[in-house]
Amino acid sequence: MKQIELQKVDKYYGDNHVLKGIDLSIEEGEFMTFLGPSGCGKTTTLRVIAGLEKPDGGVVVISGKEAANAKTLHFMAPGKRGLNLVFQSYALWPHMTVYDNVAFVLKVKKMPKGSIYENVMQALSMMQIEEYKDRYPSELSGGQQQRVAIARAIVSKPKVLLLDEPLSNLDAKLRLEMRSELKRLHRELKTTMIYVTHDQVEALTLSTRISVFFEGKIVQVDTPMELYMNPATLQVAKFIGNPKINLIDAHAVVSEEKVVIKSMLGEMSISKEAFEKDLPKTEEWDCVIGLRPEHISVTEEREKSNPVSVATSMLAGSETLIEVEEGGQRIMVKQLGIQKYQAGDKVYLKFLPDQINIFRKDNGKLIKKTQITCPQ
Amino acid sequence: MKEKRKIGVRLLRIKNRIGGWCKEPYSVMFAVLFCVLLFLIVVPLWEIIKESLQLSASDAKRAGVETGSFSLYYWKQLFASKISFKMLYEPLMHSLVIALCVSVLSITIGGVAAWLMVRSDLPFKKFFSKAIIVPYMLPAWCKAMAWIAVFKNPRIGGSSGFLSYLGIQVPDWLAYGPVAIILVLTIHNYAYTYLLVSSALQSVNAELEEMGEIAGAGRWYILMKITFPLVLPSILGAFILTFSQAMGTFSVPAFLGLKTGYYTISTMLQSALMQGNNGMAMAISIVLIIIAAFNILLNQKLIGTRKSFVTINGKGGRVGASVQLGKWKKLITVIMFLFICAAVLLPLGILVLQSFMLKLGDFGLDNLTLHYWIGEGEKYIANGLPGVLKNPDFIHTLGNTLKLVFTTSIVAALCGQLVGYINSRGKAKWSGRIIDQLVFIPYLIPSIAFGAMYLSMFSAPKSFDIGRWTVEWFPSLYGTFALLVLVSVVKNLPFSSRSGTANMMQIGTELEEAAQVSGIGFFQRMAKIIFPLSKSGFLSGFLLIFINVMKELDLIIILVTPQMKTLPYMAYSYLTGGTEQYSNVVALIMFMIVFLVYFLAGKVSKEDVSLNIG
Ligand SMILES: Nc1ncnc2c1ncn2[C@@H]1O[C@H](COP(=O)(O)OP(=O)(O)O)[C@@H](O)[C@H]1O
Ligand SMILES: [Mg+2]
Repeated sequence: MKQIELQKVDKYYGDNHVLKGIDLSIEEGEFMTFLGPSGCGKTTTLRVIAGLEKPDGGVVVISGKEAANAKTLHFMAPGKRGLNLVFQSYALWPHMTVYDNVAFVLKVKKMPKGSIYENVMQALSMMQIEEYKDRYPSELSGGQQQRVAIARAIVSKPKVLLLDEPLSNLDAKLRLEMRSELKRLHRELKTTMIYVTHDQVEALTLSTRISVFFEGKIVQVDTPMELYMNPATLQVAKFIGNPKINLIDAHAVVSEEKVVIKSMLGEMSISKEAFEKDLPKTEEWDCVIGLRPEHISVTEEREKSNPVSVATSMLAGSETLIEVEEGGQRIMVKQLGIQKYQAGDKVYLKFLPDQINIFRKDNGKLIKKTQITCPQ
Repeated sequence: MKEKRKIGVRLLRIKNRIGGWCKEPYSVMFAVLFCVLLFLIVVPLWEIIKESLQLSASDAKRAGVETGSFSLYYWKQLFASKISFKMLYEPLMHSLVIALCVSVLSITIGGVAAWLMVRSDLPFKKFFSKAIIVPYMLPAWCKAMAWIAVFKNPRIGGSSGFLSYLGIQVPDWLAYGPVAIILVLTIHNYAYTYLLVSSALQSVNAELEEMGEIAGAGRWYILMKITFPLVLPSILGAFILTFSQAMGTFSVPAFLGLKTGYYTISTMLQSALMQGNNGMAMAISIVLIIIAAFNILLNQKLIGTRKSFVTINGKGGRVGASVQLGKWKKLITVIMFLFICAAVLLPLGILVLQSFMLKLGDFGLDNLTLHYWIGEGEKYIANGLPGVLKNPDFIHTLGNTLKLVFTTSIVAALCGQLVGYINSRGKAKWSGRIIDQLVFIPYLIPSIAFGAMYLSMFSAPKSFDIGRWTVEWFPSLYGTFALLVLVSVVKNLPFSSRSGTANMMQIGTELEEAAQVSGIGFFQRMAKIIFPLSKSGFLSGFLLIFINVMKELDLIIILVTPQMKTLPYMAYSYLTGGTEQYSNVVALIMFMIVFLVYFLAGKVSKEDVSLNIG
């Protein structure tokens, strides 16, 4: 069942067009992540869903009910939407103890004393912070404050939990720890979660689906695997993956059944069926090959492709990053284990044509996906 | 069919817009506040302008036209007539000279003191930091009184002052007139500069100076090129503040100038009012308001933001290491002590001493008496007026004053928080900005003109006619407690709302939103989150207004009545009635109350409240 639906949501701050026609639907129980660079409108979208901002255009539907409609100026109050929000700043009330912070909403809603205690303790134990219940927020570390903020948000059992960059203020080690904590929380609570981050690793490891934002628009909504393997545009391809995907200029010639792609990698002949429908109409066109560094390897044995020379070779623990050069274009190769190459060595590249992405040069759209079936 | 649906959508839009608007506490609060401010600030301002352009009954009769008809008569009188020089140009020159001198002197003294206190290894810092702001708690006219007690010479009338008693000839120019006014105002005003500059200095991060040191710059160079530019905005702010205050101040030039016929623009304004020449008085008020507005504009141009005139926000990190004063240390310490004596102890001491003197001008021991404090009425002293503490009128006035001060401070601090809430939550909205501008207007209007404005606006009931019926929608407030509260609250609104805004800015909107998403209503959020978090800000706002209102004379001098008066007015009328000792006693009691409240507040709140004053 659809839990949240955004239809053509527009938002302006003064003249600044922040959200440009956001369309999105989120299923019940999903872990949806909003991923994108800073300032692209992720927080704003979250706030529109929460009801803290009013959209200037479009419709928001939550649990089948219209929560916001810019045309009729109908806006449901945030408290009536059955969701809760964890702020980036945590926004813990500094004058209340941990227990009171979590219990506050229940107290105001006049829940009987006994069940308040039960609910609060349950939320605290879920976040493993029972022992801090009598402390004030200022007496807690960042990670503990984070847990309190989440406990406060889940205590009223919301149907949807919104989290705005919850890990961005934590140090690297705590971030890892909290990441698995969030995953566990999602498993145990089974609520729909919407998670905002600019960190792709967080997004790829946590989510069931990811929405990629650029400049107020959603450019792709997919599972992490699909997003990684088949980024919808060049822009997304460049954004996802570390080290970055290799983008190689190429030229295509279309014949009856085949498309022949020429580039520094050599000549490849690919069946026309492997391509999407929206190929350029002409017979010859320019395109860009996308190839992930881990899908290439170097070898000294002769291959079909042209020889290339090694530019740098860097050891990065369990793997080696080798950069090769040919005709002014550089390609990054990620190879397992310790490899010994010197700058200037002549090597050959090895890769499977099935594992390349091809993008149109003119509009950056993906026209050939990788051909592996990804285990979910 | 399609048409019909379109109309349906439009109706729904209207219904939802109105419904949403009424449900939104922010807009309701804004609407109410806006109307109230319009009524209390813009309407009086309009009334001033109107009154300056309408002929009064007697002038109209002379000119043979109807009362209240439009005329530029008062403006012509003021700017281009035989009396213009005496009425406007000369007093204006006096005021400008005074204001300029006072600002320069206050900034020099306050700035140097601030630097010494914050950045040097001056000894006895704790004592100095307390003593140096005491003058702020004593009204300016008390200092004027002390000045007279010391420098008075018998030639100008009355008894002789302390110096004359010792046989020292005090020249007239020192006893009364511009020099006396400037010095007394400086001693009163340097505390503002001191507070502003010292908090600015504290916010200068040590690392900025240390960077200069690493680059090999000398101490003096660092002071002039790094520290000074950083605190320059607050120095300029202090300048504007002091200048405006000195321009509009009434009591000190009245005490020290009127006897020798030395008028400033504000004493001229008051004398025009006293003579019932309201049109002229209002025209003078407008001149004063325009000067103040120009001042602020200049400040805005120079510093870029109007807000910097009152508070400097945010303490930086570490304050840099103390500068060693070396061989100058002793000399500077002595000078500081002498200054504190002259500015703090001397005026207070004189007031205390005088209050025990049976006959003024006789500084001998056998002249000491407790009569003015606790004496029963005796025929030959002041027509049988009993000592202040035995005087039922005093007890009544004391009660009245305390009631006024507490009511005003609480109301003003609450209003300040409210305005602060609107301001901070509506920063980006036109509604927030408009409130911000509105509450600032009373700052531009000199106290005495403000009092005059309220007098003319609220002395008659407000009503309108519907056919044969007259509906009185606002009663006459003349001589009521409510009028005094109203005028004090509104006049102090710029300060209380500044402190309220600073306070509310610190409470992030997210703290409120966190409750909002859980469905907690507006009033609950206010009661359980905003209010508890703004307690300390509320206290400092309260204190600021408390001290201001307790000392206030200029603002209410023309609004009080014998039944409804305050301690400063009582002291003032004793003084003008020639019974200075009673006046001294009242002033001292006032000072003790202010000091006590200040002390208690310091005990209650952990922060240093003094930084929030000014
Ligand atoms: N309250 C606001 N007023 C004006 N502009 C805002 C406000 N909040 C966000 N913006 C602007 O909207 C854009 C999107 O902001 P945001 O949604 O916070 O981005 P993200 O969370 O993706 O970093 C930014 O350019 C930001 O400057
Ligand atoms: Mg954000």
